[in-house]
Amino acid sequence: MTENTAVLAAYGLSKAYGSCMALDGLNLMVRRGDVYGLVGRNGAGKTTFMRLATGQSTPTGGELELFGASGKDLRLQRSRTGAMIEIPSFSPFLTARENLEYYRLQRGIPGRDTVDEALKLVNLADTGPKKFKSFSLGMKQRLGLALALMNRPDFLILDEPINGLDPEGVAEFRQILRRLNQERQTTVLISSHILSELSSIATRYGFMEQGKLLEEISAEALHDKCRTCLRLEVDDAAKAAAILQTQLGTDKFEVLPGNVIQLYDCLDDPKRASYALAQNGVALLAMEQKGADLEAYFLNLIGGGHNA
Amino acid sequence: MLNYIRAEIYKLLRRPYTYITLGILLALEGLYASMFAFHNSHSMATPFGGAIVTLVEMGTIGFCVCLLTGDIVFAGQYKNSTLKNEVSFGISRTQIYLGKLIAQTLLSIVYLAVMMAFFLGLCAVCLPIESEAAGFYSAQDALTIVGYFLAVGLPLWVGAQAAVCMCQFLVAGEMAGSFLYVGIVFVLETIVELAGLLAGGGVGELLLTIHPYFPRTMLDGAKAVVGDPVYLGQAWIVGAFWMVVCTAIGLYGFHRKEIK
Repeated sequence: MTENTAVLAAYGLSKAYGSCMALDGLNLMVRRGDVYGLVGRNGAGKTTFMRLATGQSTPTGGELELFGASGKDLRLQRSRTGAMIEIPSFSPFLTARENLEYYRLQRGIPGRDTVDEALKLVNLADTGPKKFKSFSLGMKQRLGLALALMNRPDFLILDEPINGLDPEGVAEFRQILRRLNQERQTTVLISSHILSELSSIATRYGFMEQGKLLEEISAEALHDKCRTCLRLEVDDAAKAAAILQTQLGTDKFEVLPGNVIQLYDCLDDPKRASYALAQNGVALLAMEQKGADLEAYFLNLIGGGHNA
Repeated sequence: MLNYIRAEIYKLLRRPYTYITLGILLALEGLYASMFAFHNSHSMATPFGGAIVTLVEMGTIGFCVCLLTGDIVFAGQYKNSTLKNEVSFGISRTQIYLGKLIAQTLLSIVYLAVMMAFFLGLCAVCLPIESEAAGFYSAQDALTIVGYFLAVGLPLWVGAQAAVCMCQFLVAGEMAGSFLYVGIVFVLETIVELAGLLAGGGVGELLLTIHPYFPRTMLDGAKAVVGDPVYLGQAWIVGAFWMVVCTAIGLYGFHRKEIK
């Protein structure tokens, strides 16, 4: 399997609940090695897509491929995945260890150490006889993550996995995901409303709205688009570019059509740039600081005004 | 499938519900057996055979125990949303359904064995084995009757267990599922019989022909034909029929169900 091989692919995927289209011809591809952040507001179809991917629900149209398999072969490939969709659910009368052991036996995962390793990984090794029903939301989230990781999956599907985690838990979770992605090349599909968190781990984003994919973009491309810069509108862009290079000693800029220059330098002291241009006879028609984070980008994409 | 059943047994053994239910059932049996002992200490002289033969009047309890064992295995699957953990990993829905059904059936058989052994043992210890009073079955005859009753009852209870499983998988609410089961196993046969009597003609005849093949009717009928191998064979066919039909319907419905 090469780097660009699709781990999960949706082709015109649809899911209708009565007259409501939860997914409407979704086309999406998660490639091997991606940490794919699925972004969308409530009801955009993120969880529905994940539920289809995990077999909890069946599509009403289109096709879904997992590790290249589709149709009836899809189910077998799910044993290579780990998933946590919505709220983690376990038997309330069993302990963390017992719950995981139950699923280990059920899935035929060899080695009793697997359970201990998974519990250790999410810092739940010391919960002892405490039953799941007495767990805090954060502990439940951790156990859900432990279950998802127990079979050392090639592909992780995580729906709002950091809900309820304390700041320390969020940081640990971030580290775990990074480690899995880098060391085990685990591909991750993750949705979260905490976009700042998502932006710290995702390598690729899919923006969803009303059951459709609005845009798919790599983290680098998004970073470039969202980069803070000074937008300079001048009368002579070529001359201005030369001045920036010679006078300010920077090549961190882009010349855009319409005599516009995006300068990624001098952000803390914009006067330096305007002064240098003015000194050398370039008229500065407009100057503004521009930039956005993932949240602003998303809000801008869906038309603004809505919370993610 | 073996992995799945092993996991279910692992869970069952760690579930307090399993032991509490069995404890209550055994306590009720103990109470029932002690009634004979109490009466014997006053006026009656019911022997072992006389006490255990009354089991044939309690076939309905078997159908109720099926509901309990079914609930022990399945309870909370929809309420706690744990089925998604199984489906997401690629375990087939057929495997999930049959695994639960097998676990329920195994638990029922264990319950039956423990309850029978407990009751027979208690009666053997607390009551005289034989009595000179007239009108009681000998221990040998009573055991034969109970044995035949169990042989007829076993497939019918398994059929009922399949009905329990079907109701649990098809109806998300546990209470509603239990009501559906009671409706199918306890009420439907009465409705069919009444409808048969009221309708008359060909339809009525058809309904009255169907009526004896309901599990509970069939088990009640066993008392009158103790030792009849044909009836025993019919009971196994009827039990198998109920099991296959309920399982097929349950599987069909579960395959189309959204797991939440």
